[in-house]
Amino acid sequence: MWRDALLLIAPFTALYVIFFLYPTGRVVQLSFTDAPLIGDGSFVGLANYRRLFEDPLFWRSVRNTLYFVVLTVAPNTAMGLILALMVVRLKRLRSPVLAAFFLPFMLPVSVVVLIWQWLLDTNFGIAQPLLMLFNDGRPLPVFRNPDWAMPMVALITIWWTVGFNMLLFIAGLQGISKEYYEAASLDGANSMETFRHITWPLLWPITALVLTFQLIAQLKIFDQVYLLTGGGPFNSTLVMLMYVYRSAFQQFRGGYSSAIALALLVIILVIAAIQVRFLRTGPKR
Amino acid sequence: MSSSTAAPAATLTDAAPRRVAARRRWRPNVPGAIGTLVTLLLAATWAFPLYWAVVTSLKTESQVLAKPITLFPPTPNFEAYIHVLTRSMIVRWYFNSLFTALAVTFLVVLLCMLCGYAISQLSFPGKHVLYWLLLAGFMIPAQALIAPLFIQLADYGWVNSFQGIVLPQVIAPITIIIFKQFFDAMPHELRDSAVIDGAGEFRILNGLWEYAIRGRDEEQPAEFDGKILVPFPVESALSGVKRSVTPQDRLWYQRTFQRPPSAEGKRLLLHFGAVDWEARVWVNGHEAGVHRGGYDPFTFDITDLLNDSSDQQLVVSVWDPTDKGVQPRGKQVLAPQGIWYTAVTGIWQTVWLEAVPENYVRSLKMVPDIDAGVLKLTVDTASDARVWAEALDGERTIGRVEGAAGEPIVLEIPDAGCGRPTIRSSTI
Repeated sequence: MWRDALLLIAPFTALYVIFFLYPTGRVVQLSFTDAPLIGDGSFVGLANYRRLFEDPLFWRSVRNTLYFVVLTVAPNTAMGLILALMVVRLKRLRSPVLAAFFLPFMLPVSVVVLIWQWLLDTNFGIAQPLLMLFNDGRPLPVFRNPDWAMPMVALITIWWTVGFNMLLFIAGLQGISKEYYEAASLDGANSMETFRHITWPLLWPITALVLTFQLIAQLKIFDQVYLLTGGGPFNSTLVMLMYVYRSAFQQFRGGYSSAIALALLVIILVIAAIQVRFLRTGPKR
Repeated sequence: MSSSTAAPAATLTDAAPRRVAARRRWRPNVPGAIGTLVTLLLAATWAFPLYWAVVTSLKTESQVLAKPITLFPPTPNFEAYIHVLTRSMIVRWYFNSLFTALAVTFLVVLLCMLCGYAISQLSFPGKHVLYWLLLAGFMIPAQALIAPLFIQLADYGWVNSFQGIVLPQVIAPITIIIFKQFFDAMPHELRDSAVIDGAGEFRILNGLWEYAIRGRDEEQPAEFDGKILVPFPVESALSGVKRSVTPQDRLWYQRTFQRPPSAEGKRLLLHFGAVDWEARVWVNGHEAGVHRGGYDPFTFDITDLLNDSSDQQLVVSVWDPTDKGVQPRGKQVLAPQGIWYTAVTGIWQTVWLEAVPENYVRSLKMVPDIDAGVLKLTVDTASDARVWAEALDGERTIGRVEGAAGEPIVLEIPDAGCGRPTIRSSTI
């Protein structure tokens, strides 16, 4: 029987080893070398890590990543829940409203970025009249303004991905038995009390799941930043993976880039572990 | 259970007054309407960027730059679309995307399904290690691996190639985990029946065989009378024959079968669920054995009778004296009337092949003694062996014993009689 099993797992496991475990090992190994992008380089011990701790740009990228997480994780989750609550009470209009919120999620990131660049363009962007209010009546170039760039990337990310969270919440809401609401209305609960004591606690597993997915996904922010700002202006949107990319592919420092990647990995694992513990989303025994 | 019976009643009593109230007086639901309005406004805001992308694509360049900005294009202009279709390689790009997406999807579904199935349903060494490695893979961001992955692909000469784009994307451990959960929920009976239908260690030989009815003392017929659907007795309509066989007759069966691939290097057993009454079995012209008794199952080891050809020939001859003999026969008679039934002759239970290792457990005799908290086991094996047996409560072993095959061994089970422990035993 184990021969059958070997046959079944072999194709995936082979690819897994070649394209995942091996590069993971390489990241660890490269982080101890001064390798350029191509080629092996020589062993430099902990030099990359020492440099990492003294590199203000690295700490900047950590701060920026966490800033982005703060701007997206909770708002995106809350927005998903609010939209879900709004959508489930609709009857005839449910499908078009659902589509309006979910369609952006179906778009590839490059299209999302293009659409928003049109909207926010300083010359002909239709959103500029609104943005001018914040800039003394002058056009506001959001992606060239260090204060505006990151919140704007966050806003676009929420617009793009909230539909998926909404779908998860809708599935969760539909899983709550109607009898609880019936019992609550018999007891005279108003809608706030019903939400506080029935919907919220029964929806918590989904909320925890969405929060965990969101946190891990947003720590890995790269695509939108790469396409919208390239890390600028003045490194105000330089997130960790952007710095990994810049070190590896623009500055050809494979070893240093690997050290940053590992630092990001450690941060993700630690935060995910804390969150799994705190939210109790781990596998139940 | 109680809720499912109570629910319709509740709806009945609940809906009736509401309908009456609705007829009596229609009151606008102001907060509800405001909520719907807010929802619609928000949905419109959300969809606006998409709308704007479509509108912009229908404008000419000067209209795009014109002030004031108009929400609708004066006349839809398809110039941009025509330009993209004729002046760019969009068709090729489209094909690239489609091909990559299809290839990744196909490989992910196929490979992850196989892997998820193995992890869920089969046991093999290193299974738990593999599962935890996959879970770890779910946590590690693929983007953290871009630098070494790029170097690796460059080494293979795969930069800017389809395989370089597709293969690393096949690493989708989450898909395996989803498939595993799905297969975990699949009833084991499905797999067992697939195994019996020839997907594994067992192979069922039921189906259409050739049959012939000849005189009792005649040799094996060269020509057969027709087809019979095993395992239905020859007298029954379900067998497709519906002929009676007297004590002066002999019923002949013949079919061919392939040696199952799973039997490679193993013993092959031929099982008969029951054949009424005297059955003589030949494989490739060699006699496998004789069995008398219409009600009990019997087995022959036919490994040594097989040859190298792809088709192995199986012949069975059956003689049944029915009410002219002394064997137990219930109320079967040759001339049915009143309370006496039509006789049953020939194969009337499943016939199947089983591949087993050189030495195997033939049967397990269990005599429980609840007061003493023990189970007396006699493990009958094909040849001499040491055997072990253990009692499991879920995954936890609660009792274990070793001993010689063929002799009673005593397995102590703490708290016997509470719960339903699983017993498993094997040769060593």
